[in-house]
Amino acid sequence: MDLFSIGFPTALSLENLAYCFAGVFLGTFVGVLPGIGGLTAVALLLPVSFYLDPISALILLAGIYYGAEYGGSTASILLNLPGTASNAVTCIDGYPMTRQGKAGPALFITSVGSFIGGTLGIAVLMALAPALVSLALSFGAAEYFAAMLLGLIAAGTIGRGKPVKSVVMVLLGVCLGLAGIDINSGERRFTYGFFELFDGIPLVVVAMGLFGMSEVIASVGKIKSVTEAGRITLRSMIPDRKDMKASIMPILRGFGVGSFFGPLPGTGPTISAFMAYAIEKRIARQPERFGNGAVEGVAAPESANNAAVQTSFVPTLALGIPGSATMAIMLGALMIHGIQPGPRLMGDHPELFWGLVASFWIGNVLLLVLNIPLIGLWVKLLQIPYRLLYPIILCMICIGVYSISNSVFDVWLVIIFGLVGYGMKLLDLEPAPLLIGFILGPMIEAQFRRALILTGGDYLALMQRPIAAAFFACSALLVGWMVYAMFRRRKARPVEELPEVAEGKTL
Amino acid sequence: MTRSSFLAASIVAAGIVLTGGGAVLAQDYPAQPVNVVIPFPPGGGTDTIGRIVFNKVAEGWSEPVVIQNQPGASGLVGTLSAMREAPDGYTLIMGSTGSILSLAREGMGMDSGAFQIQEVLTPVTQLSADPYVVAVHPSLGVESIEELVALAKSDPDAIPFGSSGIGSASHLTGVLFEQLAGVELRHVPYSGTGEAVPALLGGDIKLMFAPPSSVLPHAEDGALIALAVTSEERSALHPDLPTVAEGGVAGFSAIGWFGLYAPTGVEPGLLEAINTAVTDAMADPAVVEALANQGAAPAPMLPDEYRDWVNADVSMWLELAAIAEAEE
Repeated sequence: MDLFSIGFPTALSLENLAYCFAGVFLGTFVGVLPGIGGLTAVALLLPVSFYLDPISALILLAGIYYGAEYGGSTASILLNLPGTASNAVTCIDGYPMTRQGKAGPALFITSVGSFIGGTLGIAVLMALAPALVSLALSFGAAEYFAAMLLGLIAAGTIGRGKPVKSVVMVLLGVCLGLAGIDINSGERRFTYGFFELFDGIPLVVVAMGLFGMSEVIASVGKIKSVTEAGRITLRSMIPDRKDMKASIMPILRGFGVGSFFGPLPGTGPTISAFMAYAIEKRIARQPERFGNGAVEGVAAPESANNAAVQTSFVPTLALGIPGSATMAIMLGALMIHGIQPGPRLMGDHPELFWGLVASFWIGNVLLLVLNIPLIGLWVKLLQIPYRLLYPIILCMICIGVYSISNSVFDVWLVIIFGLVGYGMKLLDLEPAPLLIGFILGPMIEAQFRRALILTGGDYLALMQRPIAAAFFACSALLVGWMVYAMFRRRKARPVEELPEVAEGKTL
Repeated sequence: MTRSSFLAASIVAAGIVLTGGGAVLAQDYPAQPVNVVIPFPPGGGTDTIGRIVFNKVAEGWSEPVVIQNQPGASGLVGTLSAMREAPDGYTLIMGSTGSILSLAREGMGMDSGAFQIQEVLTPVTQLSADPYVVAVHPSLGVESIEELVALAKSDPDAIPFGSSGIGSASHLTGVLFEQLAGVELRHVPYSGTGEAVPALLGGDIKLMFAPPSSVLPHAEDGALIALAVTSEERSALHPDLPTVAEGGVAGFSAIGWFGLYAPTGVEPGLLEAINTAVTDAMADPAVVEALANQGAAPAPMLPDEYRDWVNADVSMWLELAAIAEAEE
């Protein structure tokens, strides 16, 4: 098999092994630091790749990319500050676990979940790449619209408070997502004369402002520290049998969700993580546990985002189509070396494809080691006294946001979103539904209108495409079930409100 | 860039700030690191071409070149902020048809009524000017421009053609095609080539006027059919592809260029020095090969020549944009 005859020999050369380690180490590092994510690190290291072999360059850059998904959950769990946008959802249950003294098991489960999601993702990438390519290509505007609509309906109520608050937050998110040039008409919406808003508000700005910066502001004057989580030792990390058992299925489902969204250009780890969380909450027997340290709520999204980053290499490597900004940089690194990405990459440069895939296996094992026995290293990074750590984190968030497009404007935006997020905390409004509305809303709008242009305004034609029809049917079922559940609950408990869960609120 | 050179660069930069700069003499240039602002994200066409060329340029300079990506608003964000820097040759700006066209559409360089690039930027040189490729999905059932035109005529407003956005070169090239071939297509805008090409491969859209590197690999693979190049004459990089004009659409010519600019007011000697350095770098065989892989052929010009060419070409694109707007 090519993986063993070409892949591992390439990836195991001393040089490439070193680049793989450097990549995943750096990835974990930038992942752990709130605000700075894989995109920033990959962009910064692009010039370095000039001086490397193309395969070494790719191994290094890819290592950063998937390494950041591992590291990102650490700060979510310990500090309620997401390391990257795709770890934002991990805060919801990860931080309550920490407050219950279960930081160790939470970190353990996310690392194992990441490993399982990641490695199964690689297996899918190897075995099913051609099938995934045709799946991704069969997703036209109608299918995207139908899938994202289902996603929005499913994820709209991922918050822990009253559903109506969640819905309002989702709508607010959708409105924020409208800012920028409308793809279909070229009109400017809510740009207020700022060129910087033409392309809309960057996702990282919203995520880091609402989740990261607001948490820093809220903690001013409060004494809390990672030490409240207790010392994280290897022994303290081993989850009890109950948690272990409770995480297996969510991890596998998370992997399923991640490897579905990963190969679709334009979606990716953040959507996967949110969807995996939403699914767990939907199918849980006691959904009210979510938001209060439900172990499924950390296991599933972390497995999903890692499965998504690995499978997102499918369109990149098999078609030369970048599904995200980070992937575009990796393709750029190849093109600078004169390698033309495209359908022939696998055939023309087998050492590149299989070497990279082999490096994924090696990298994931390295990451497991970095994140379980060596977790103390990263925890230490976050155990700096708070009066020092939080100002540093503020700087990191600003630097991270600035570095995306070297724009001071974005720094102002993240500060504004930090203040808005703080206000939302005071009003007990949750940022997670807002973020999902912000991500999905504009995609739904653009794809819906595009689908209608393509069908010449025929709504029925949208339903006649089998994949889209299946998604519409699921949406209808879900809405029907939600309405049914609501009526049944009303009947059973006519006066009693849903128990408002006070515990686990961070404020 | 290595750490030591970065450190050195920072120290030199600090020194320049402290001594207040002063007039730059062409023979001393560069005496400090040169910033090249790329108003598009890393990994894109402008970025890759800029990096390939300036990697070589930097070898001939005693000072490093710092590539700075400032993406946003089709290149407007980066271009506008870099435009305000001093014309001392230490801030250079990469541009594409798209970014210069965006300036014009914001009314910049339009003081005299017609677009005059020199009002807002000093053109340094063109880097490359390459045709787009007319690519169709096999299910459309056409294999030449003649067949495409015939099909479009028999069924107006039925062939969906994708573009990388409203007013983008890939959109306006389609508008030009409609005008000259006397047909009507159905425009479907996407956000970027990266989103449009999968839609073309999947058959959601059937036609696209796309950058060669984004569609030719799929044409070789049989997933798409490349009908023609959009330039006036055949491209040396793809000699087997006919031109659109050869296919019966007389006078059709649309090419996308990448070029280098500086803020206005660059002293002529300095401008010449930069032009020469870049032109020499583009003559290097390794650079030519790396550019060819991008579907780009080096096409350096003298500053004046480039200025006239940009002004003429932007005016043509603006006319098309006006037609497109009237159609909406």
